[in-house]
Amino acid sequence: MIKVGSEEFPLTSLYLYLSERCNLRCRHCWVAPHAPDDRDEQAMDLDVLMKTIAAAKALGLGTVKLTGGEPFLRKDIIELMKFLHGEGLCIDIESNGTMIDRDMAIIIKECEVRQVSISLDGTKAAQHDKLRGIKGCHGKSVAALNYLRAEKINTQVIMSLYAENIQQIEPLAALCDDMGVPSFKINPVMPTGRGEKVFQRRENVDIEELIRIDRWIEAELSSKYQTDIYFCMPIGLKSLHAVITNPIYECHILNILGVLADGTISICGIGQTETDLNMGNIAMDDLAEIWHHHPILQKLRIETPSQLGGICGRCIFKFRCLGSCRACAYAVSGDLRSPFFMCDEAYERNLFPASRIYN
Amino acid sequence: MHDRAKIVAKDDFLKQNPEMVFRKEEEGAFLFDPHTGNLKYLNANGVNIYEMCDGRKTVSDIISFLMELYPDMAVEKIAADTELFFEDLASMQFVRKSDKSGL
Repeated sequence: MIKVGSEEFPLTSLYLYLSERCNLRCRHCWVAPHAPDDRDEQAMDLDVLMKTIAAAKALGLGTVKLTGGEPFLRKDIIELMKFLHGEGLCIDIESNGTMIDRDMAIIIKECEVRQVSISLDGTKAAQHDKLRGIKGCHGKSVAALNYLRAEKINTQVIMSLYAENIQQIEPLAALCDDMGVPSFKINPVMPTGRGEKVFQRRENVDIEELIRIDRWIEAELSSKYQTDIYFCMPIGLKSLHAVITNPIYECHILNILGVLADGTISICGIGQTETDLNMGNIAMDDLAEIWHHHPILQKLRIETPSQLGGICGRCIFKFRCLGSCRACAYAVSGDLRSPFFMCDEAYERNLFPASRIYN
Repeated sequence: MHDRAKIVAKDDFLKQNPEMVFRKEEEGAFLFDPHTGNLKYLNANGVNIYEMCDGRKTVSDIISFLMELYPDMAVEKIAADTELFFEDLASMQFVRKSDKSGL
């Protein structure tokens, strides 16, 4: 009998998608937010959100990630950060950085935010602005990093990788190093949200090239800079050396929930585009009840990883990797059990290591 | 703090558990339990030792062999490290005890 209660699966993280709007128009964005002036946002009430967070602590909550859309479009974000800090919760922020000025950096410091991740797709402003859809945004993001670093806040640069900015990996690593940014994460664009069109236009990076880049970073680039460089790729495709020596960013899908800007509860931000995965709203529904009993979560717990399909079901790392991004798998196929697209493509092209496949 | 009770004795014959997945790569190998998801990485030395678990050698036999192979290493360290390694493998069911016939 498989147990599917919260004893087995504590709710360790909440991802708060604080705004369904964004002031950038990133070509790849997986949640495809609205423009700031597109429509009136149905924003969740702060008091309700605070009560939800307090309730989630009883379920095991330790970390809250503030993201979006652009989270700093939410006007009461400072009040929220202060509340989270007061509750003793670990705070992470993902932002495009364009709304972080010196004063905001000071507040972030006061709230002891663990890490602020800023999106930056290269050192060339024109290219970054083109990929992000708004002229001038590169300069603002770099300025935000400077404000944050001046306050000695732990920062991370997140680069979305297309075929056209591969050559920017090393310059961006050098920039991070120069600025004292401790972490540089490279996310290959995924075929979800607006990213689907990136794939249709073949602007994404081919799997063979992704593997080559991963090995190049490991063998050469990482040793050149003090900044930790991490290339997001499922563990099954990583080198053996990387598997045993490096920290691997993995989604703990069985221990998180996403709360969208309007209070909708989903498995993560994918609920914004894949509404079938929405499970209720914090304004009306009890979070604990959803966490313990909602059929989508019950199904996810039973199926992940034991019933994963395709190459993910046959991979020796499946208990650790959990099939990489289940949200992406769902968006691509409509099935939470389907294989992750990178591993699937690698397998189809004989690029998935045979030593990691069983059955 | 109490030491955990030992699973493996020096005169035990050990064999690989056929239900486990053993996969070699260039720099080492993985042992994977498809039932529990347990995963263990073995370096080149670990691979050699694991491959000696054919059901016909005792833990002592393997330690003696390793002492001959690494004459510069302290015998106590070889014995202690090897026993610890086998305790780990046995606790995760990657190796099993067998009788002398190798069964």
